[in-house]
Amino acid sequence: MTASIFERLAGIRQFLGEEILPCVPGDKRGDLRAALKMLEDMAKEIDRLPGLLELEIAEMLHLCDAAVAALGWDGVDQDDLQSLKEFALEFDKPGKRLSELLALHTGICVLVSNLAIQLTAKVAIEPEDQKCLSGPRVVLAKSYRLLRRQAEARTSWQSVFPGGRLYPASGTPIKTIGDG
Amino acid sequence: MSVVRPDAPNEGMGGALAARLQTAVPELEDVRILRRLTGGSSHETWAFDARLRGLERHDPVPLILRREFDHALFDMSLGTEFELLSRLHETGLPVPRPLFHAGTGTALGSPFMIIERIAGLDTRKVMAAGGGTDRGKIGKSLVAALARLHAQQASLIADLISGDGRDAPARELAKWKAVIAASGDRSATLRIATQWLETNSFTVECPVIVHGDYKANNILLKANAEPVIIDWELAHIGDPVEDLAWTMLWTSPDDLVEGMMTPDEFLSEYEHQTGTTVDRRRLLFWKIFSLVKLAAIFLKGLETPPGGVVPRPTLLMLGQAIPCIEQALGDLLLRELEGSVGP
Repeated sequence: MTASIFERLAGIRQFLGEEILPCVPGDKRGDLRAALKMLEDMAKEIDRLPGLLELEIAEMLHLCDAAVAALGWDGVDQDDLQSLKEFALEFDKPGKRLSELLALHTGICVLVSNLAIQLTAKVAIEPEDQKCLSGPRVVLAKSYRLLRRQAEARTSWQSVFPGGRLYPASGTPIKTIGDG
Repeated sequence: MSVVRPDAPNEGMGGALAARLQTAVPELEDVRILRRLTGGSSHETWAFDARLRGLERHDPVPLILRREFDHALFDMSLGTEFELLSRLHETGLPVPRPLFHAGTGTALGSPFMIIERIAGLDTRKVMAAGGGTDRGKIGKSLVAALARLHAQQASLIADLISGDGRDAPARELAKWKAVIAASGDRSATLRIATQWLETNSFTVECPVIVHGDYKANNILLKANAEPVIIDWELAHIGDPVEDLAWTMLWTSPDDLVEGMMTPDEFLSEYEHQTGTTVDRRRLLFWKIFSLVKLAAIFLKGLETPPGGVVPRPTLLMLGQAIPCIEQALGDLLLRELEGSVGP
């Protein structure tokens, strides 16, 4: 039976770690160790990425629909509206390669940030007494929550911050906007 | 007569470097390259010993050589850093004593500076090795060193640095935003955070000298636990709270925050030592900024260096951590929107 891509990667790591690393000069060892660690992390990434990208794109398209609704059809940038239609059509096409999914994901990330920035601008001019319940504010909170969760799902294939958390939260939210 | 010793420390690349170094700096004798050190993002750093001509005590002196790469982007030039160190050293601040500096026209080819090598280890390593029995006391001494820096008049280095520091939030953001843009990154979270920073930028009322990279592994501890601050290439004039937020970003068990004191204790100690109150809204701004800056530094490492230089896996690996930064940014932005931001 042919070795899987993961078994071949593991074999390469073993060869580099056991045969090559001991022969490498001291000032290059750190880089070789980093390369070995990256091969391990990238194997995890390759394993998870296709399914994860499909899920993330679907979630972001859904979020964009909610953002457009909150901004109002007349209130949203028309180029962004057009991009949203094109991305949705592209996503529905079957048999996409990983590289095509990555390109689509990148485009939708830009769209999500465009819409979030428009939502932020709208929230900024809302009267104080309407802020808690406003549609743009709820969707903006959903945007942050979604982006945070999607990022968290990717922290398992990095080795820089073993705990994965920077600035761990110490404040208790006073209220939760649009959660569930 | 100066002779490069042919023994072990000067083997290979070190031997050639020792010979060129001695040609470039005639004041040096008996140069012995010891090892290449890890260090800044755009410099190469070597530990070496040498005798200094003209000194009464003619024992070898422990020294550091820092050479500038061709593709340095966001660090200040070595010439500026040398002058900055000279002025800070004269004030009595705990920094290494700078000795020599030269531009491109020497046997070394690229700009370099030589500073004294402190007999000590970086604080993170001391903590990781189980040293520093009184972590709280060491933590306070690190806060005290930062407070002393922030107490210096910004005018001390004003002629070395662009801007008067009042526009530091916008100026610093523009610098790191340009690095992210050049990297081609399309992260939604980074873009949203950058926009948030632009919207919430402010004027610094009392600018001070900011280290720009104040964290445990940029502070050496001498045998008597006295701290010495190194790696000044990101120093500028700006808001002292920027340094606090950057220090609070590093929270391993061997760092100042979480390793020696909690975030609350760190801020309280700084406030106690400086007699100031840290504005929590400004702290939030600089925390978000710190994450954007860290992302920019990591993304810079993913770029292919110019001139056929091979990308370093140690730098490439940092890029894998961008999701950790995005997660933290999403968390801070959400907490800010929900009206709850702790220290």
